[in-house]
Amino acid sequence: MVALGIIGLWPCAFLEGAAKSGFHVSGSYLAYSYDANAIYGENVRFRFSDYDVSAKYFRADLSARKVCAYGDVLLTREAVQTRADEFHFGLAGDQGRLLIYARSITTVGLGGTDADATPAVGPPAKEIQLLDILKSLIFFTGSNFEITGDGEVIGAEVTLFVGGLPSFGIKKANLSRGLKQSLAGFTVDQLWYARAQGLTGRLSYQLGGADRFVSRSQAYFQQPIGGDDGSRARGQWGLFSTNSLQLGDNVSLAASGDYQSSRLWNARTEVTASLSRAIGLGLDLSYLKPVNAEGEAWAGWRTDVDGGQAGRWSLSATAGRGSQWNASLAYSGNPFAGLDLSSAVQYSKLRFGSDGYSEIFSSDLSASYNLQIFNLSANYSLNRDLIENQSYSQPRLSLEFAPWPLYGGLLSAAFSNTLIFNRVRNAAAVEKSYSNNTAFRLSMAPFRFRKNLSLDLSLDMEQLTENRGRNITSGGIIAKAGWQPASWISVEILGNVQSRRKTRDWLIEGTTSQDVSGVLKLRGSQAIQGWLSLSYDPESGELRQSFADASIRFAERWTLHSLASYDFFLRKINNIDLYLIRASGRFQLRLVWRSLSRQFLVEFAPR
Amino acid sequence: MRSRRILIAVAAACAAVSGCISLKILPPSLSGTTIEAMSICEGVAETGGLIQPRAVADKFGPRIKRLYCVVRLAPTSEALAIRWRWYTPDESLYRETGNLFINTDLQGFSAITASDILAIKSEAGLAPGKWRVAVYINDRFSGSTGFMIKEFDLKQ
Repeated sequence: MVALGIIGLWPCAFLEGAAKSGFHVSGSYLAYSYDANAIYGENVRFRFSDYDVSAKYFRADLSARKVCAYGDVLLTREAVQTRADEFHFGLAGDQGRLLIYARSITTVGLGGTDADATPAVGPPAKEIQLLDILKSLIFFTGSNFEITGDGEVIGAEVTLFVGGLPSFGIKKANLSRGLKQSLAGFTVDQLWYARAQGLTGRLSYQLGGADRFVSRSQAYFQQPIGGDDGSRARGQWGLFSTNSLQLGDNVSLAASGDYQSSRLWNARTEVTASLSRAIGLGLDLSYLKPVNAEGEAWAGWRTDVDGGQAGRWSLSATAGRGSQWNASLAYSGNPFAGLDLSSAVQYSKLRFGSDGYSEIFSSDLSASYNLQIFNLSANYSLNRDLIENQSYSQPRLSLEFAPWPLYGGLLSAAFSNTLIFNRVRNAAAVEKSYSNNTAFRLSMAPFRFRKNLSLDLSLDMEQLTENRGRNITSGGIIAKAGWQPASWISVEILGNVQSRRKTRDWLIEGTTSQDVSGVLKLRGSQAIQGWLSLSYDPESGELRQSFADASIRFAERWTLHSLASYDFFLRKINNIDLYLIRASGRFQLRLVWRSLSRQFLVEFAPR
Repeated sequence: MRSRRILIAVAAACAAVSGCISLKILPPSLSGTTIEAMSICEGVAETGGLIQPRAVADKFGPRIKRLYCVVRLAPTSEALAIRWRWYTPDESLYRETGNLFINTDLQGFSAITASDILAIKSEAGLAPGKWRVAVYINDRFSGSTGFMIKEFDLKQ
């Protein structure tokens, strides 16, 4: 824990010392949109390969890794100057393309290539516009950005804009991480109240990020407010910290710690090194303190070898206090096309109870052969208790055929079979069992009565056979009818009948079930859409359940969305979820109300 | 005096630890000849005194009879001259407009929109492939955009 503290207080000057590959761009105006993951700039200067570049305008699509400087583009190398209207290049590599718009468009390749040989550095996939950036929910402006080879943007002396309003200034931040990085390392990840859980919060503090050192610490708490009987439950809290330091190109150091209010805690430190592209080594030390038990110290070692075509190997061993051991060897590879192989062997000797040990040997071997028409896989697993002298093994073989077209594609048939053997051995006896499951599906290509009316049918059969004399036969028919009277409305009705028969010696028992459900879909325009589903039990002649989903876009980026379900048996609305959504490029800001848990949530969710 | 030194030391220590926030960074501003958005569309409408593009796309059918290039400029009080150049898929100049003069009386505008129309009179339509449009403000290249004319399909 002391080591964690020392790493946590590492001076800021050190953190700013290292920069990855990429380039630095300065300008009279630079804006980075977190929503669009794009940059717009004016009166920019940057360095590309051996050239000093200046341009009136600049845009970068960081998701597509493509950059364009345009308007009075000037490239200077030694005393030679080259002028152009546009300069396109990619974040990776040092090749670019210059465009001059005159009586025709003249294209000049840069970086030892001719113009036609640089397809990777054409115009960005989507031409980023300044308006896209200014309308973003979250964007930053500044005069100096560092763009890494990975497409991350680090800004110095930037201003954060939320919803178009300048919020506050930040000295240095990784802009690609949006709000998570911008609040001087502090983030409120989660803060809400729910009746069932009480008050819940999660706070983070991050140091470093784009540099060689990253430290992330988290604290969480949960405080129930009180039960219906007026009792006051105890709250819980915890602290978690993870830190990593890159010591060179091939060596890194990591340390983490976790403390819970229940007095459970652990700490771990690990050194990893790459000896070559194919060989990696890891050494780790850890200490675990369970609740109401003595703590344990562990030391471990791991070697990974990537043999390319020959496969990947991993060998690891850990030793713990009181002669505890754990060792494993794993292999995975595909020696030729279509064949996947994997195997793992593990031995462990661990403390069990107050003064006993468990000693387990386990192994797993899998082979799978895939062709377009079938997949054949075999697996063998063994688990052996060396103290109690018992073992459990299971060979398994499965064969699955891809759907096979019949009668020119009118019908298609699919078949699969799985055979499993089990063997359990202990000091007294050996017990063997097997089961075989065969499944067959015959489905019909959608049959169109008219342009807007269609019918799908499929038949399923399954047979399970066991050596204990128990057999189960099941079958079913699924029918689906679709009707689309207009482009904005469609109706789908799904019916299925399933029957299951179990036989054992002379006894036959079984059940038959049937179900009908319908879905009505409405799509008035991009602004209004929704669906309503109903399920019906033909046996009892009663409706069972209904789900409804509706969404209305009431402003350019705002949508009101609701989900509801109704139980006809209980005659009550089960749940209503209401979402107020603000779409914003790569993510959505959602204000959510959930009636079932009586929760109100604010979420940032990726789209 | 001693308490003042302690206060300065505490303030300096707080700044060193929290380290990354400063509250008075003046955000930079845009220049006067900034294109905020440029789009190629099949039609335009006027809303609130501004031209709004309609049916914006980056691909058009070969039978298209009219295309617009709509430009929206950032707030400015400068006098501007805008012109357009349209280039064919073989990168030769197809059409060049004269300068369109805007804001010659130097008023301040919160937004300016301008458009150029490419009317296709030929029965054969536009050549299929990637077209580009370059926009010049005050005779300086200020941006370009592209669109695609699809191949003629006999099934259509």
